[in-house]
Amino acid sequence: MRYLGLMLSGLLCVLAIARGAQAQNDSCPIVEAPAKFDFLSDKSDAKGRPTNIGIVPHGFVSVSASVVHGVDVSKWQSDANFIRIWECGGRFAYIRLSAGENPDNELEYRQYWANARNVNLMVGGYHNLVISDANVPASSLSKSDLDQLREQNLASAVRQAQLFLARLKEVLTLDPTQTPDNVRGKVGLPYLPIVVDAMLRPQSRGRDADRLAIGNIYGDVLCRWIETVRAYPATAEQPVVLFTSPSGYHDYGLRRAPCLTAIPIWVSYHAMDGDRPSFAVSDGDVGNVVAGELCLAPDGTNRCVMQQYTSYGGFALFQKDKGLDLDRFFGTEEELHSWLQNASGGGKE
Amino acid sequence: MASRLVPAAYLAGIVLVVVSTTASFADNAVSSPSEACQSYMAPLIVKTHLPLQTNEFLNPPQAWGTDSGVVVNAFVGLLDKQGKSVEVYPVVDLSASNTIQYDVLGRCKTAAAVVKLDDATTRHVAKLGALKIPSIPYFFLKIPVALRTPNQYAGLNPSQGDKIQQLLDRFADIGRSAVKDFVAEIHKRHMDDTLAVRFSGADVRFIAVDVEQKLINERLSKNARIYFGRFYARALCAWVNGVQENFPNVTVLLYTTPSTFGDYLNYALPTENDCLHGLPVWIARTTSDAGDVIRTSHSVIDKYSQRLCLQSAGNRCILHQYSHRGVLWSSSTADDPHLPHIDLDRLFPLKIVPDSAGSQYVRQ
Repeated sequence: MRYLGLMLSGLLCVLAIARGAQAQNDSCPIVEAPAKFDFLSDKSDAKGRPTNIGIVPHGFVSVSASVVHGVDVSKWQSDANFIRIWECGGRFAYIRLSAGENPDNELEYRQYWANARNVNLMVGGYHNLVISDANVPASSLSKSDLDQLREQNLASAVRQAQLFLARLKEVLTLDPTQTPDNVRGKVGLPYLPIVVDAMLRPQSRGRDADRLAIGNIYGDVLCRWIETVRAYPATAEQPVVLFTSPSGYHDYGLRRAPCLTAIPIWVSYHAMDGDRPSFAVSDGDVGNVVAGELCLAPDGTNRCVMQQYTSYGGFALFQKDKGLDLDRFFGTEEELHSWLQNASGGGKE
Repeated sequence: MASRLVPAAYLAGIVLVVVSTTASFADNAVSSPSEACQSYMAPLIVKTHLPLQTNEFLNPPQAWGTDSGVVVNAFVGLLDKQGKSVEVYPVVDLSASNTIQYDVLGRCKTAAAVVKLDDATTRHVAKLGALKIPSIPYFFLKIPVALRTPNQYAGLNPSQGDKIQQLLDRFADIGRSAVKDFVAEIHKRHMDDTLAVRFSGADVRFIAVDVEQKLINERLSKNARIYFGRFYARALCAWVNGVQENFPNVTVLLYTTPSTFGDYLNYALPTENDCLHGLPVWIARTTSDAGDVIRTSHSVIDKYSQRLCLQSAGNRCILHQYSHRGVLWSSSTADDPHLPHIDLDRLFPLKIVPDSAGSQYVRQ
């Protein structure tokens, strides 16, 4: 009887998922991973910049747990169709506000933010951290050269954070006021926690020792960026999420950076079956061990709260053969909503 | 200003009322939109060639000169996705190149006309005024050809601060100079009191500025488009600010195309863009079925329309030019570029939403 009940509830669950998918949009049905998908990848980038890779689904991909679907966009996803993202079940959008120090690196953010707000997506901003790399293998650098490179990058981290904060302030200023969602004394509307993107791979053509050598600087620079953001009055003490991959976190030894050991992680994990990271070490999968190194917090909880699972969300693009990063938050919409932040007024970036 | 204020209780919520010495939008708008010569409702069933069946409309792919859109002999209303009628008001835009049968515009309950400042302005405004059709002046913001060649901008980068600033200053001068031209044109034609519109109690005026000048050989360099867009926005802001100084309470209506915005103005930095934020947009985008501007095909124009129109506070494309081939005084079944034709537009009721930078004009 107990098994019959389980079977019935399982059947009902499957029906509910199927009905839910249909209710979202017949042209972009939500399917549940693990499943079989086409898989694509672009050529690797010589400078270590991230490239498009992942499954090619016809709609968002869920997993057995509760998830909220979303996207992340930068100028590289300029064909993102925010109406379609919403219609297909997307409920949040992370928007790159800045990349490095050069303001010209990202100029699409203002309209992305407005479009995403317009269709009622929960919106957040992220910064793509740029590290100045050494022209030679980092492990061959003298201590003074490494120190110089560190100082140069730490100073840049502050400027990068200032650019990000100025842009966050700008987009929040353009949000409507006097709506039920506005909080008295705060600027603009609530937004998702700030994210710093650590997907750049300096010394990508070098050896493990080179990546670990620059990794020391990488971790410090990430922490300096986070400190700067969290010291800014408008965003003081707000949570900052780290966007990284298990391999990046491992290869650069980022676990050594004190500020990164316990912060929430948005993991870039593009599995061929569309599934979430697994930490099961019993099957001897090195990938699982590395994912566990990133996702398992010191207290044993899973801190990978979000996952980017593919770069090919063509179903929500104006030109379907271009890239669109698909993401999911592990939790309910209410839980994601409770994570929204508010910026205080005033403060110099 | 001997204004006549007409209450507009027919509109729920924020109301749109015209105050004018010569004509009142409200006089027309008091009639329900269904009485306003809107014989057709979009989306229309469209064919690209003759002959047409009943309820079909012509939209030949070959433009009539630069004019495109549905060939139609009446204004076209709008249905939403549920098939319900959307509240819109029929508008035309006119220049010296149009041959007009004004009485037809009156008979079709034209709610307003946007009139280009050119040789025919005075005649258009007078004739329209006699029919109680209010006029909104529009000004073409011209950028000299010498400043529209891409090579001079293709190599610019943020490290060239002085050069960029010089160009910004030069474009600001163009905007300021154009303000003088505009003010002179308005005074010369005694149009200062042509139109005032009251939104929820605030008296403001509509003045449209036509922003659609692109680079020559614009596909040569994206970097050139980015920088020209930045400079163009600076010229535009200088114009907007200057006009607002000369005409207090003026509301500038930004006439532009999706690609002018997407390829150029979209890249303006906050310092060049601040005056543009929140401005209502009159969007030039002929649609295949005379329908609304926000669509989700795989067209780049649809992408740019989404980027331009959808703001945090709502849809700021409050005026939509949906066809250049309005043959209000002809049969709609002829494919003849020589038919006198005009631009057809629809105006949406709007609301003003405050934000921390000012306010945004968006559709209700």
